[in-house]
Amino acid sequence: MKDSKKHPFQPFVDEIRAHPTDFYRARWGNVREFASLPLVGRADFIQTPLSQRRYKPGGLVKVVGAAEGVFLSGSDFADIGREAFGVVSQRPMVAFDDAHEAMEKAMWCYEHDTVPLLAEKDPRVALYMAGKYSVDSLVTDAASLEALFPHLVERKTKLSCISIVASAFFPETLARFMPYAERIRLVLALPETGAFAESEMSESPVFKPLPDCHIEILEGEMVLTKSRLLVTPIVRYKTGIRA
Amino acid sequence: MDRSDILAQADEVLAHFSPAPGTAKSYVLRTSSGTTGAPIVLPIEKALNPILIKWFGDDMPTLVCYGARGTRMYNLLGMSKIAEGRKRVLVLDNKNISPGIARLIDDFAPECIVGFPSFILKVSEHFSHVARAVVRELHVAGEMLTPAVLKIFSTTFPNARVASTYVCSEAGSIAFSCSHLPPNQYHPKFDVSIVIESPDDEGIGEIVLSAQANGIQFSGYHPGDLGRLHNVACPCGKSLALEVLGRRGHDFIKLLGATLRREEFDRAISLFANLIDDYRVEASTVADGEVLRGRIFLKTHTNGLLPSPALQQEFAARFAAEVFVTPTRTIAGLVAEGVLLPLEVEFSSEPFAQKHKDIKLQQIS
Repeated sequence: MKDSKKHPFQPFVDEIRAHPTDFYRARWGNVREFASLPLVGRADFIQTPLSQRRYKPGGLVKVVGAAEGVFLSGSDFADIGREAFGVVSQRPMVAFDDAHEAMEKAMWCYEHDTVPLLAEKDPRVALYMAGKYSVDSLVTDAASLEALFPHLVERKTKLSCISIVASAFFPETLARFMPYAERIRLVLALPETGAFAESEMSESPVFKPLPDCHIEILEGEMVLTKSRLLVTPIVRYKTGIRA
Repeated sequence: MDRSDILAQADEVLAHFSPAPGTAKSYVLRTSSGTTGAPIVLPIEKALNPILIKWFGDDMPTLVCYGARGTRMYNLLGMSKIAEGRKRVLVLDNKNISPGIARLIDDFAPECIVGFPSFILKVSEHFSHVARAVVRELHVAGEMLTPAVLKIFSTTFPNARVASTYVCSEAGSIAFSCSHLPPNQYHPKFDVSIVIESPDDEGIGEIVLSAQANGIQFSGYHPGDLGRLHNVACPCGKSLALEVLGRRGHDFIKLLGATLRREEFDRAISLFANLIDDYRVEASTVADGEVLRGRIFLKTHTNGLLPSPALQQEFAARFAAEVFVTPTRTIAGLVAEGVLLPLEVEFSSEPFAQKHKDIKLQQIS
């Protein structure tokens, strides 16, 4: 009966506590209950080298350039595939201003057995490439989507889906893209956490947490836990996103 | 066969591109730069040949330093596939190169670096002495390994072995270096046929290759480089070596991220038609301490009296400010950024000797 009172993530917390890497153990001290665990945030990731908060080997390492500072973030390739960055299609295009985000989302396509068109940084080249490959869906950020607008206007058919991956959305500026896709997904994500909530595009998007993601609202801020063991697990992570 | 033939075939391949289920990771869509015409978008098949498996099949943390995202993806995907996810790969972007990266390089501690020599050298300025000593392998491609580059590599990464690949953006890997061969010499892949077109007395001519790659039949294709073939009895068992001597220099030269285009030099020279009759450009890289810088030497034939030293100086300044070597920056701009050394100009009243090929731009080591 005692177990029934445990938070569903408690076994995951215990697993992390028992791991040889002590990034979380050092921060948690003697606190054992999930709901009482101290919060972590970007400052912890910036202060602690990735080599000291690595719970899994291998994979893609990204440079995350945040306003608070620069740090490394690691992702196992299979974990990238488990993210909800896009919707699987035959000819996806991946277009991000940040090169690291672009590589990660392209790897997501490969994990789903599709060959993505990875847009080059130069928007003129990206437009040229999109036309050549006859892309059928987009995984992108808002800035890159804006640059691809001329391609969307020229197309004779709608894209099956545009997935916009970001930490903030402005529906009033994204509304102009609605005629060019069957659906537009807004995917709430941070570079170091991956995706954690999604919503269909609307005037007032309502985000739903993705599977394996637990979102608490503490003092008006989203605090995220992902229940899968990641290269650096995300446990009670302050996202900096107001909600 | 020229580039337009490749473009037509590539469009056809791309239109019908539909990889079989389970094979997506064997392909990367790459776009050539378009330096010599319209960009080519092509599905490049990532063949896992034994040399790449040997190079990338280990667990060494690897730093990737290429410019085009498609090329970065090509390397990342190959490494993830060959090493089956065991390998840690950090694919660096130009915008990451700032003093803040030093701490992250120390953290990542790459043992292997792959990329363009000039990109690697740029990043290496931010390596601590400890991080430099950890590097054991440098796998480079896309640029000549000049003595200046090799000298900086040997002092910057004292424990690193240098291996290189001769690549063509449309056909992929053409030839691989060998520890028994000198720099810039390669053993061609078994399925690539190479001939030297119109060789001179020293056997130097334009490289012409034939191969079946990425669904395209490359037949008598000119990748744009000069070279010569050597018959060798290499201890590795191979009997042929291709020596690559750089871009043919007819139309453009790549220099540390800048592109020197003949048409741009022609345009700028035409602005000084009352002074300059003809010109030649020599481009090279020189080691400036542990930094590699580009050197542009403009030789001119004046159509009258030699200008005064003051006028020569003024010409050099105006010319450097006129010639664009990136879409937005001139020679003078890159000199100010420290990428290039100040433009050197030589005036002569003697016309240039007329040769078989009118090579205005030349890359020298």
